[in-house]
Amino acid sequence: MNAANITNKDMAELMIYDRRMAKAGLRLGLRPHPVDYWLVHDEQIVQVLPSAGVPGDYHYWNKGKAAERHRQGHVPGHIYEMVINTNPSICYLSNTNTIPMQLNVMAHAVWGHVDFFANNVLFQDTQPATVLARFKLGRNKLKELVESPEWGWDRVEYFMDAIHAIENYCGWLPDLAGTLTEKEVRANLKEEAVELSGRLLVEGEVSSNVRQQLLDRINVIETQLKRYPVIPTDDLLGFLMDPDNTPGLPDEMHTMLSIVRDRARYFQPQVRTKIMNEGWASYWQRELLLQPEVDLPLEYRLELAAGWTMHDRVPSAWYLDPYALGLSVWRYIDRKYGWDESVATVKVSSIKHDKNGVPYETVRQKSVTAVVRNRDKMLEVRRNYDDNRFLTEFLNEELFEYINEQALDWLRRTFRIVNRTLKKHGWDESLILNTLPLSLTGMIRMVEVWMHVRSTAEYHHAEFGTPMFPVSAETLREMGTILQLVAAFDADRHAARKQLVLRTGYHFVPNIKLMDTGKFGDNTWTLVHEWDDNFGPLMQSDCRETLKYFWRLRGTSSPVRLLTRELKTDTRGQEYGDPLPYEYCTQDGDTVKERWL
Amino acid sequence: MTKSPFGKSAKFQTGNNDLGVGNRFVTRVDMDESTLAFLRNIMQPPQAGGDRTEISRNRYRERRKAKSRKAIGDIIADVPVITKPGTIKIQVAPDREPTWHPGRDAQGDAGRQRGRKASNEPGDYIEVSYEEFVDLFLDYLELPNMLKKRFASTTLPTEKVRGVTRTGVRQRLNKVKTAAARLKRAVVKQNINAGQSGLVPGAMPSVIEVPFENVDLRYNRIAPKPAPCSNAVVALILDRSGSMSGNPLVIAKAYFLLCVLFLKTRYRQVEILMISHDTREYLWKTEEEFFKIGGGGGTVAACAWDLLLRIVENGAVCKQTGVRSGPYPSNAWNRYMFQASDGQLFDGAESIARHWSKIIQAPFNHAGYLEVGNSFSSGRYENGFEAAGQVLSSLPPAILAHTAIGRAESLNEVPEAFRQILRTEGAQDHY
Repeated sequence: MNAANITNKDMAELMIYDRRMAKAGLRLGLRPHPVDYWLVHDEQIVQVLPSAGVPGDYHYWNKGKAAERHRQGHVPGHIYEMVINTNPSICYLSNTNTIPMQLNVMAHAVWGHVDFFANNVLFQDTQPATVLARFKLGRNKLKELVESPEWGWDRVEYFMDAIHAIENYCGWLPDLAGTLTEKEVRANLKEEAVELSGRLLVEGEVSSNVRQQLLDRINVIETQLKRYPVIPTDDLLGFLMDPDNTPGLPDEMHTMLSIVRDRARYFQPQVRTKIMNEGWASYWQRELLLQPEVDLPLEYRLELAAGWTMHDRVPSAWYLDPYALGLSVWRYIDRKYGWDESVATVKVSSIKHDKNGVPYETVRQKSVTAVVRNRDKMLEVRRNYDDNRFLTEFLNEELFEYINEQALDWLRRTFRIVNRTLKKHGWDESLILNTLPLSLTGMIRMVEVWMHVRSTAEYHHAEFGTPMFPVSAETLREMGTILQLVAAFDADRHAARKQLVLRTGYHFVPNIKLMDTGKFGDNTWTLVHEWDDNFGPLMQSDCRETLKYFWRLRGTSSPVRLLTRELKTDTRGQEYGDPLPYEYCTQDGDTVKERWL
Repeated sequence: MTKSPFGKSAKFQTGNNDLGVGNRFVTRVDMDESTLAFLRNIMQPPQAGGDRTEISRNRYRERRKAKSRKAIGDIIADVPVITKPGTIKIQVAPDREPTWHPGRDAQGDAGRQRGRKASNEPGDYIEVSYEEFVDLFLDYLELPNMLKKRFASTTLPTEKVRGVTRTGVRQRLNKVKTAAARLKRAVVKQNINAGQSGLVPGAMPSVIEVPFENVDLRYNRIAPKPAPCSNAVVALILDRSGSMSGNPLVIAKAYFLLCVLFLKTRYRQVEILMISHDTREYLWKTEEEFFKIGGGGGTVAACAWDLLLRIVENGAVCKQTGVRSGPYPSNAWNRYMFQASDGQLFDGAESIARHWSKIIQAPFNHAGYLEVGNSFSSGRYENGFEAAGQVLSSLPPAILAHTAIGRAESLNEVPEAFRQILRTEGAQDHY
C-alpha cells in the first residue's frame, strides 16, 4: 500500500485548522484531553476493530473470530475515524478522507468524543492516562501464561471463556463514595440485632403486635447474616477476583479475572453513553466548524454539508440511529435551554501559501464578531447524564412530536413524488391519490396497496416482461416504518418512548446477583435473576452454558444454582401463564439440572 | 490563570469551573498557546502495517480446525478433493460465546442442533490449504504410524552428480577438476623431465608452459538411476448406479483420494482417468461430473474395462461423453486402476475374471477393488463379498499378486481396505 495520499501540504493545512478549532472549542467551553492523531490505512483501522481500537489489547480467539469475519468479506464499510478514551487520546484518521472530511472527523472525534470522555462523570474512574499501560500489562501476563508449560492455550481458555461469559457483571461505574464494606455492614446488622433483642425484652412485653414485629425483623437480620456476601452483589467478577472469597483459585486466575474486569469496566461507560456521545460529537462537528475562528472556505462547507447529513438519509434513523437521535436531543436542549448571551470579538488570520505551496497563517489578524451562546445546560447534561437519563428526560412528548412532524413532512413529500411518478408512467387511476389522506390509517392503507402492487408487478415483470413498479421497495418499506413508529406513538406515547429508552446501555443485560456462597451453610452458591417484564425469561441453552462456565470460576466443586422464572409450555410448545420460579443447578459443572420451585 | 490569548470571551473566562467541576478532570483553561500548539501538533503518518490480529486469528483457526475434523466426511462428499488441489473451504459453525441474556431457544429441530448451522457466509468457514486438508483427512482416518510415515516421505527418483568422467558433453565440464588435472599432469611432467622441459622445479607451471590438453578434461557424471520413469496413470472406475448414492459414494471418494495421494508420493506426474459406469461407460473430465449418480438401471463393468484398455493402449473417445484420452503405453507409464462398486455387477463371473486378468496382463502395475457396503447388500457370500468380490478373490495367484480386494462399510474401514495395496506395492522397490 502506498505511504499516504495525504501530502505534507495537506498536513500543514490540517494543523492550521486544528489550531483554529482549538481556539474556537476552548472559547465554547469544551475541554478535551490532548490528542495524538494517527493517520492510518483503511485496513489498519479494520484490524484494530476487534479490540475496539485499543492498541495492546490481549490476544484472544474471540477477537480472531471478528477479524476472520472481516477478512472473509464482511467488510465493515469505510471507517472515517476512531477515537480512544486515553490521555492523551488516540484518534485514528483514515488517510483516504478528503481534507474537508478530515476536518469534519477531527472536530467530531476530538471536540465531540474526547471532550465527552474527559468530562462525563461516568468516565471519571476509567483512568485514561494509564489505560494503554494496563492493557499492555494484561496482554503480557496472558501471553506469559499461554507460553508457560503448566498453563498453555487450552487451560487458559478453559477459564477465560468462562470469564468472558460473565464479562458484563463487573459492577457499575462510577464507584460510589462511602459504600460500606462487608465487615461494616455485618457489624451494623449485629448491632441492630442486639438492640432489637434488648427492645424485645422491654417493648415485647407490652404488646404482642410489637413483639411480633420485632421478632420478624430479628429473623430477617439473622437470615441475612447467614448469607455471604451479606449484601447481594452484581459485580460477579469483582467478587470472584478477591482471594478472600475464592481461596481455592490459583493466583493466575485472580489475575485473569482482574484483567477482564478492568477491560470491561473501561468500556462500560462508552456503551452506557452511546447515544449522548455520538449526538454530542455530531452536534459539535457542525457547530465548531462554523465558528468564525475556523473560517472555512466555501468549497469546504459545501462538501461538509453532505457529510453532516450522513445519518439523516432515511427518516427512520431519526428514531433509531444513535447519531441522528442523539443530535436531535442535543439540538432540542439547545433550543429549549440555550440563548444568545452577548457578542464577542475574535481574531482570525488568513491563510497564505509559500512558494512551495505549503499553507501558513498570516501574522495580521482581522477582527470578527461572534455571537456568544449560553450552553450551560448542555455542558451540565454532558457532565452528569448517561443515555438512560438523557432519553428519559429529554426525549419527551414535545421532542417526539417534533421528530414525528418532520417524519410526516418527509412522508407527505414522498407521497406527492410517488403520485407524480405513477401518473407520469400511466399507472392505474386507483393507485393515484388526488388528495393526500388525512389520517394515518389512510396513509398506511395506501402504502400497503402500493407494496402489494409492487410485489405482483415484480412477478409479472419476471414472467411477462411488463414494466416494474416505479417506486423502490426500500422507499415503501421506509414509509411503512415511519407510519408504524408514528402510529405507535399515537397509540401509547409512554410505551413508544420506553421502547427507545430500553434500547440504550445495559438494559439488555439481565439483572443477576450473587445472593449467597453458602459459606455459613451448605456451600451452595446461589445466583438470583430478577424478573423483568420488558425482556422476559432467559434463553435456556445459553443459561445452562453460562452457569456451567460460572461453576469453573470459584475454585471449589460445590454446586451452583440460578434462581429465575420460567413460563410453562402446553403440549404444543406454546408458552402460557405467568412466569413461575424456576431453578437451574449444576453439581459438577458438566450437567445442569432444572426444576420448578 | 495565565493571560488568555483569545481575547475577552466571556465564555472562555468562566470556563467549566462554574459547573461545579472538581479537580479530577483535566481542564485546559490555563494553557497558553505555545503549550496548546505543542499538544495539538502530533499527527503521525501511517506506519508500515503488520497484522495485529494474527495471533488471535491463528488461535481461532486452530480451535476450528480441531472442530472441523468431524466434518471431513461432508467435505469429501461436497468438494472435488481428488483432482483440484487448492484451498478448501471447510464449513464450521462459529464458536459461540454464551452469556445470560433474554430470549427463547428455537423450537423443534433447529433447537436441538444448538446454535446456527454453518453456511458460506463470512465467518462460517475456514480456508485450509490442500496439505492441511490431507493432514486432517489422514488424522481422521487414524492411519497407523507406519502408514503415516509412508505418506510423509516422498520417494521420487532424483538425478544427482556422482563423481566425474573423462568423457561427456561440454555443458557438464567441471572447470575446477579440469584445472586440477592439468596441474597434476604439469607437476609430474616437471619432475620427470626436469632437465629437458626447461621447467623450473618447485615453481607452478603456467598455462603457456603446460597448456590444457584433452586428457585433462573432466565432466560431471550424472548418476543413472535404476528407477522406472516417474509417470503414472491411475484409472478410477466408479459404479454410478443408484444404490451407490449417499454414504457409499463418500466411502468410494475417500478410497480414491487415499490411493491417489499414495501414488502422488511415489510419482512425479500422476494422470487421473475418471470412468464411471452403469450399463454403459462414461469418461469424465471433471470430478463433479464423475461423482454424479446416473439414472440408468443395471450395472455392468465390462464396458468400462474395455474402454480403459482401449484408452491406455491406443487412446480412445468415450461415446457417451465425447471425451478423448490416452494412449498411456506401458513403457512410458506406470499404470494403476482402482475400482469402487457395490459388487452387484451383472457381468457373468467368467466375464469379470477375463477382463480383470486382461487388465493385469496389459500390464497394469496394480489394480485395486473396493466393495462398498450398503443397506441393500443381500446376496453376500461366505467371505463377506458380493458377486464381483467373490469372483475376484478366486482369481489365479499370478493375477492376485497384483490385485487388492477390500470391503468397507464406513469411512473408518477405508484405510484397512487401502492397506492391501501395500501388499503388492510396498514390496516393490524401484531403486
